[in-house]
Amino acid sequence: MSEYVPAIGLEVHVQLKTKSKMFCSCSTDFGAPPNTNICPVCTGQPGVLPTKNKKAIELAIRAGLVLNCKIQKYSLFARKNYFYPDLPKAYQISQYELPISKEGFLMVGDKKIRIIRAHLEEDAGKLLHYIGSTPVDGSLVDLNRCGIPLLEIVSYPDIDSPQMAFDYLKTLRRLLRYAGISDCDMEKGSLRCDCNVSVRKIGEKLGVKTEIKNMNSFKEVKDALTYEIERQTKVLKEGGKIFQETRLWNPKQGKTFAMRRKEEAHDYRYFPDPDLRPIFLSEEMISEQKKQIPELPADRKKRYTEMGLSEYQADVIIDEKELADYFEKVAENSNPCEAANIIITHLLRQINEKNIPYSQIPLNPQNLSELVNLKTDGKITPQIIKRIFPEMFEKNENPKKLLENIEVVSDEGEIKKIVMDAIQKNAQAWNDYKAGNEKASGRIIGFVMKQTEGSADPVKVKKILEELKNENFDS
Amino acid sequence: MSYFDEIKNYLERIKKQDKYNAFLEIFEQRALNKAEELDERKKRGEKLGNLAGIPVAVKDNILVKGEKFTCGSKILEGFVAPYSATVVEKLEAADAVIIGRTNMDEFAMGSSTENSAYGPTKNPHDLKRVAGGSSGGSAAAVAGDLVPVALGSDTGGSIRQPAAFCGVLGFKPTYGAVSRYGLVAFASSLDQIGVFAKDPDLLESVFDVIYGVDEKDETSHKIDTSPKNVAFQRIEGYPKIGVPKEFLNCSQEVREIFEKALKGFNIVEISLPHTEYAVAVYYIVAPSEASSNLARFDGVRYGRRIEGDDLISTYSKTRGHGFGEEVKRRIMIGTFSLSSGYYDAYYLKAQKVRTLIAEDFRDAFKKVDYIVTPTTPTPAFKIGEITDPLSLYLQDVYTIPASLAGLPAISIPAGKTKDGLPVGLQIIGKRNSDFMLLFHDIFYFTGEK
Repeated sequence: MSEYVPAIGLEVHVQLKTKSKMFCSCSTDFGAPPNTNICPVCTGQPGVLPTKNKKAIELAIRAGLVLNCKIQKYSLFARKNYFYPDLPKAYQISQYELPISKEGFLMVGDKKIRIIRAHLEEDAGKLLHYIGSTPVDGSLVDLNRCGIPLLEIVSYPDIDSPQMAFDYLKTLRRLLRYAGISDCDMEKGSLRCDCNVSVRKIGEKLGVKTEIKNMNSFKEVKDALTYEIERQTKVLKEGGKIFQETRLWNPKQGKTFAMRRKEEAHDYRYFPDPDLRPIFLSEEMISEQKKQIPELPADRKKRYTEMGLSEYQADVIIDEKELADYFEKVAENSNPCEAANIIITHLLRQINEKNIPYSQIPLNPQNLSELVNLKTDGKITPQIIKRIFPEMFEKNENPKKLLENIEVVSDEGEIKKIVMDAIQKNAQAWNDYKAGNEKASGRIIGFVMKQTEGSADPVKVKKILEELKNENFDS
Repeated sequence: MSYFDEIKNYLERIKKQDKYNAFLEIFEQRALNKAEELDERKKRGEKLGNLAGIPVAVKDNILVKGEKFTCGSKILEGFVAPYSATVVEKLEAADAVIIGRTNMDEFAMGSSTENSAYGPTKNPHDLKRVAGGSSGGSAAAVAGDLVPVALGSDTGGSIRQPAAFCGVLGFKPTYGAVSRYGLVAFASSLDQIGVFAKDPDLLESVFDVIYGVDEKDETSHKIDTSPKNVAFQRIEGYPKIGVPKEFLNCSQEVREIFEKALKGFNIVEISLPHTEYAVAVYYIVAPSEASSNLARFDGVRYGRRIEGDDLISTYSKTRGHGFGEEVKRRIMIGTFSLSSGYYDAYYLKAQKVRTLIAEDFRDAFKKVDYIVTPTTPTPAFKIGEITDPLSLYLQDVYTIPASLAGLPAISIPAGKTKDGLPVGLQIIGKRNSDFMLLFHDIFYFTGEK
């Protein structure tokens, strides 16, 4: 029996990084008290009219460009009509037949995922349910989010595994953050993702798809897809049928549940919004956005590996633009590989432990590059770095100043005593080393460092070891 | 006389003499406050606006901040306007006095003001007859001399037809000449705010205040204002006037009055071949847009809500009780036309024919300066006389084409029937030629002055 393979297409909504909403001048600030960022326009009062946010259109152009899309010089807003209490006008202004950009692609590693379209639309409000509670018994609506500009990016079903969906989202997020298009923060709702997934036998045409909603993290997207693919495969293997339907992911149970069938789906009665003039884009507007695009993650990665960083190091460093920018400042005055090494081992650890955003790293790159230089000059051991780094990070200290406070054992006589002691306690390693196994010296050096809490000058330790070897010192 | 006394007189007159049901409410406090303010500013020697002290009545689908607002519907019962329409702000900035709101067909859907939830408006020339619609209240208020000027809105004839029935001037500007911000949308691609008056100069002064680009309305645009400077200059010879042959299937009496009014003009017979489809096109496009525009009246945020057992039944009860028959009928037609599987055959097709109608006008205006037609096929009919919706729709057969083409058009009194009922003549101008239309001598050639 041949195996089933999945075909996954993602619909990703990202909030465009604008100060004001899509069709009115209300603020887009996250976390404001309910119904404070609202006005007659975004609450759908009688008689109001929408007016387009220019910045949102510019960001949509930029997004189209970084997603390798064709930018449409003429595009239209359309009304998507449906009733729901979080939708004040009872229609969402979106784009339908003529989106601002279409037919692009995103490289996820070596795999090309094609993009059907990336179009502009406005967000709806948020319902808060207090059924059976006091003082409010019922549902309330918060319209702060209503009218916030979104870009919906729809991929072809080119994604063939949950892991690839995960990687696609990570790549997309990184790209949009680099280009200043969106924060893509799932927790703040500035990135949301719905999945279309079907399975089929290899070589057959696409199967019936289901749409999964309600995933709150990239990991949940992966989990939901894994579950849904297994579910569909099982149904088909048992001779059953997949229905085109919308399913909700329940993260607690780790399952998807049917919400509505295709025949129950809304007829949105799309038509061009007569209140809004078409979007006409000039060559200048498009080339201006081209200029606004900074060096993108893939190009940076290439440049970093050319600087000598490993694939892994480059991947970690480019993950966030702010970290990569920081790295570059450090690497300006020090060895890039060593800089990447220290950033990954020490800096990221501090950042993660203390939960500090990249924009607020207390340690300035200048001080860090001095540390890198001390390391490459052999003037400081990894152990000492480990010891001084937390303080250096927190207080933004110059490493040389911190080193002053650390007693460095540099008296050769004293070091020699410790080394000889170490040799005695690691006789086997010493014999191996003498026999020509260079690596065996590591155990002895490690022992010395442990004894001295890393304060022995490693260059001198090494020198003494070599001298003793030449003297054919016997343990 | 002080502004205060003058406005007080108007208010008294409306209270005593509005036997037409033209006004739904007078804004007594607002009007007197404004009048008082004008008196004070005058005393201080301040320069007052161009419309200082002129009372303006406003159709009840144009929002006036802080005042009750219904659109002639029960569904907005209790609603108070949270902001003022751009036109209202402009009028108040020009020191006009917003004196009250006038009756209308519910959500501007109708041709007789009989579809108002607050009773029909009667024609000042014959109280048994309708004032026309949907801006019947504004037309009757001006015709009955309750106010010198009133705002209305015109989607397919809602200013011109009641103006004709009531024997006053009714001007629908070029689509987009006047901001729609604060006008409750019926059919967004057709709606336009306009003016009723008896005095053409006053009508022009009010239009002069309200027209212009509004950053709150993307569909607003610049119109030609240069003809203002050549006002009252005759174009060499008489202007060439086109009379479309398709627009003469009116009543005998209307036709006679129309032809008499045009005597002595340089008349050219023209043809607008696609206008025979105008009513059909209009009753696809307008209800389609309306079905979406009126969806927001769902009882969730404002207006009257009737609770049901669940969300859907709350929606249907609220809207079922709140909207009148005609509004529901048009929402149904529009919802159907936009439905998947029907969109291409109805909405899309209608838009294509709409383009052909606009092209007919463009071609015609290569040959003539103005196009003149009767405003309506008949004079005002009796209240309750026409009950069949389709017959009522045909009331707008002469006014709809200019609406579909977005052209400026004015209805002016052309004469009266033997029974003393006014008959209107419609002059349609080129796109953006609003000032030309208002200024040109053509005003003064017709019927009664």
